[in-house]
Amino acid sequence: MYELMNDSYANYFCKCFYLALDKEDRVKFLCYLRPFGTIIATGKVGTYPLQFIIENIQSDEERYIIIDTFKNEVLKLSYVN
Amino acid sequence: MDPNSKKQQFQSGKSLSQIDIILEEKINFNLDNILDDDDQNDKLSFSILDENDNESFTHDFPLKYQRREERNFTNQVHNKESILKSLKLPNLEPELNVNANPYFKRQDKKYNTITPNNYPMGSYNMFQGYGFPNYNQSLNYNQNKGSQYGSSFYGNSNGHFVSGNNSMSTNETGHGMFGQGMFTSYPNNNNNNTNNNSYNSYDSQHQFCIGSSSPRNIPRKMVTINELNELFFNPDGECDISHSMCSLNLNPKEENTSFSNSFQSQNQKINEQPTSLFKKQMQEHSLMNNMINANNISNANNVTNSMNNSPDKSVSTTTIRNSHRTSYDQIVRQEIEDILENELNVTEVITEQIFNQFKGYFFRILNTQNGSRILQKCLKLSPVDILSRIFHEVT
Repeated sequence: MYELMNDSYANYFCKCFYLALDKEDRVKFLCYLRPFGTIIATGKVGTYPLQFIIENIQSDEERYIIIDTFKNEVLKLSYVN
Repeated sequence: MDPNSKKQQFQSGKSLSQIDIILEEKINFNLDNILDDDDQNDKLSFSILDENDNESFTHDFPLKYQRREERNFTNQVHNKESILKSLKLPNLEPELNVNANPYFKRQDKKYNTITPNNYPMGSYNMFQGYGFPNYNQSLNYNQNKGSQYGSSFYGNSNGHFVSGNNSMSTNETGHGMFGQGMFTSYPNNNNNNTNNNSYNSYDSQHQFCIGSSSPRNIPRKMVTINELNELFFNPDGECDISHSMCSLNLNPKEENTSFSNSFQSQNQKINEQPTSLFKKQMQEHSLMNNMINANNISNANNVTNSMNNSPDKSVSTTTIRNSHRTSYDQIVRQEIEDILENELNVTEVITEQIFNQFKGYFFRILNTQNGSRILQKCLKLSPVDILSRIFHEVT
């Protein structure tokens, strides 16, 4: 998923795909992205689908995963050019 | 301490999983005590009880023998592996000695080619690795573990291949790869010798069938032993299973013709074949489809480019193999593009059938502009379970 998120074509698919999945798969989706959260967020392509996903979080579990992914990375992300 | 009480302690019904603990904590002590006993006929009984307190395994140590070898045995007591070996416990997780078979040792190039004299009868599960496991219990192992690719042959203790019933003769054929005879040996009808040693030599005219024998619409190819060498071994003498990809591209009408001479004509004929055949191949050999990865494609494309630039079209075996892979991939790609454009773009629903056709290719489809766009359109109307399967595939 990380590669698809950073792909110039597949990232559009990932956005819609996330919305189309059921709750269980959406949590898995975020779990797969969790180790690559910072890389995706700082990528020129991946940051847009990630923003879309964060905007469209629907459950507490998903919110928790996002928070847990970036809770120690905020400072690092703010310094990235 | 009374040896009998120790003996009883020994028989206290430990489960098989606890045997390590038994060996470490109990055996040393028990044996040492019993060995001090003067009773020459005494035996140390070792038993393992199952959940219902039935003896699932028993073994008697004849103490007379142990006294004779007392010194060695005492040393062995401290070696857990030796104890296990002497007990002849059921081998729960057998090791596969893939290097034991001399025919496919990667380090020894002497045996890395198939020759008429060393190639045994039968069919081979190439997925077992570069060497077939030289493992005497391999038949049971294969049955219990469930080899996904059907029956296969194993090396016996002499390093020779043996068949499932250990009695293959030159009049028998076998099935191996992918369970349906991907790599099937056909005996030479002129050779009536039957070898009871489960090991048969082939002459240079002996023909092998490459390709699936079932279903019938999958093309097959008869090849000789030298051609087989070219197929399954790269120029470095290493067995390379990915070369078998070309078997899918064999034309059934080409049977009994020279394999190497027909490569170029096959390439042309493949392009002429109806694409529906390859649809079926995609479905029936999804496993094989998965073997094609991005590296293979790029390598194959490079090779194809070099082929096109070569004036006399005389290419090496590796080049030929890769060109087949390329041809197959090009056809599959064309097939996928057709489905994307003509079916998915219109219906906008990913059905079960389309999913099966695209299985193994979703990642690559999504990396293309057109594929990503069309699949994106299909997300709204497609069933959730199909989407879930796509998700599991791309992850």
